[in-house]
Amino acid sequence: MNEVTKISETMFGLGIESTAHTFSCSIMEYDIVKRNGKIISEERSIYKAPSGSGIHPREASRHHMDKSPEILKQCLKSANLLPTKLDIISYSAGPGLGPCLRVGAVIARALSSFYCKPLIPVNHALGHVELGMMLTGCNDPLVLLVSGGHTMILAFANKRWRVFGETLDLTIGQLLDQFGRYISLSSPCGNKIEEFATNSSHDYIPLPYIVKGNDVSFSGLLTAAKSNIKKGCDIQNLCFSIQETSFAMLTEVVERALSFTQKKEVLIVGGVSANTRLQDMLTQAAERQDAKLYSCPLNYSGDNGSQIAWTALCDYQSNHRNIEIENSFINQSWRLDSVDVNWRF
Amino acid sequence: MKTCDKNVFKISINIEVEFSKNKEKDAIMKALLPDNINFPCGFNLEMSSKKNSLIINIESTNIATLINTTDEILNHISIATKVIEHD
Repeated sequence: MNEVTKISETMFGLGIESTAHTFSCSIMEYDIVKRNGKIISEERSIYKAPSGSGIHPREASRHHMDKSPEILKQCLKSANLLPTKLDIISYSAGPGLGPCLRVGAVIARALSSFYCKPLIPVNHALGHVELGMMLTGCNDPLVLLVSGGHTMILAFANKRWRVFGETLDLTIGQLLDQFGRYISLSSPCGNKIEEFATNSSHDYIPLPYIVKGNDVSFSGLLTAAKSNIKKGCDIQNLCFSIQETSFAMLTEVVERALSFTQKKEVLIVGGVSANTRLQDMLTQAAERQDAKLYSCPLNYSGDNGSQIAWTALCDYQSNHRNIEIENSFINQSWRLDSVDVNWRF
Repeated sequence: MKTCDKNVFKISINIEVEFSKNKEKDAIMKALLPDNINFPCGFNLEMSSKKNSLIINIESTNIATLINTTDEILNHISIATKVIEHD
């Protein structure tokens, strides 16, 4: 680890996100005195899998390799900055798909080495949480992280985000995507499933509701939903039933965690946080527990470079430490609850 | 090189990439090296430098692994070169 002393009151950080289908670069400005941040520029390109197919790691990484030079160039141009003016370079080091993570890591290392800038690896899930807190202004929330890669209920204690519940098998995003692909939708399928559910006659089709302790399980629900398709059930009512069942499971575990922790804020982040039905159910649960629901702004609910840039800036400001390039890792299964968060008390 | 079966044949590829600047070559070599870990049985990859050139030697008992790895490394060199082109 290197120690670097900063004397400027602001810092510029580049964040590179490449864990799965999104390649994104963002430049953020960090005000050292006020301890707040501003997104200066952000560019993204999203890999689209063929209809009915899931994300293929090597194909997604090819997309990232094709798009990354132009995305970075455009990000720097929008920020009106040269790479020499950046203070730190950061990248999503995991969890994620190996070939995709390597693209972001190679770019970050090359820039860090060539321009002699500190390099910061960032946990992607932590990025969702930290950016969500910065954008919504909440202080001490219970967090529901729901996306294609994560389904976790988190609360902060003793320097780490602690897991109060998580999925035992599929994530909520995988449930929606796998069912969506089964009915020939293109990933990500969440928006379309929400649209089908909204337009349905709201006739509930019973599906397995599985909560074990404070964990959830979606694999049985997916199998049952698929078998209902074979039986000829109405697709829109099935979409409605999948949402009602899975979101009720999530709401139950969130409400139980709220009751236990006595938190007065709930923050929902990740791609599935854009779903209005899930937001409605969580709002009601939060009100019952005398808490307030905060939702990450729609444009930043999915994967983005700002979550990486912001988390890296917070991390670097807390300890002024960076990683040596030869030790800069990627970790496909890097757990959020193994990361020390030194800037939060 | 870890080999699972000594009787299996090995295929190797040697690549030499020349750069206009030594600084560029060093940055790209540094960017690639950390991912050269946890090789499967029957696979080996070595990188070194000579003047302005990056030398890569890849050996594998599996032709598909050899092709995919070579493809990924060349693509990584290409994007790393493009992103530091601002200088």
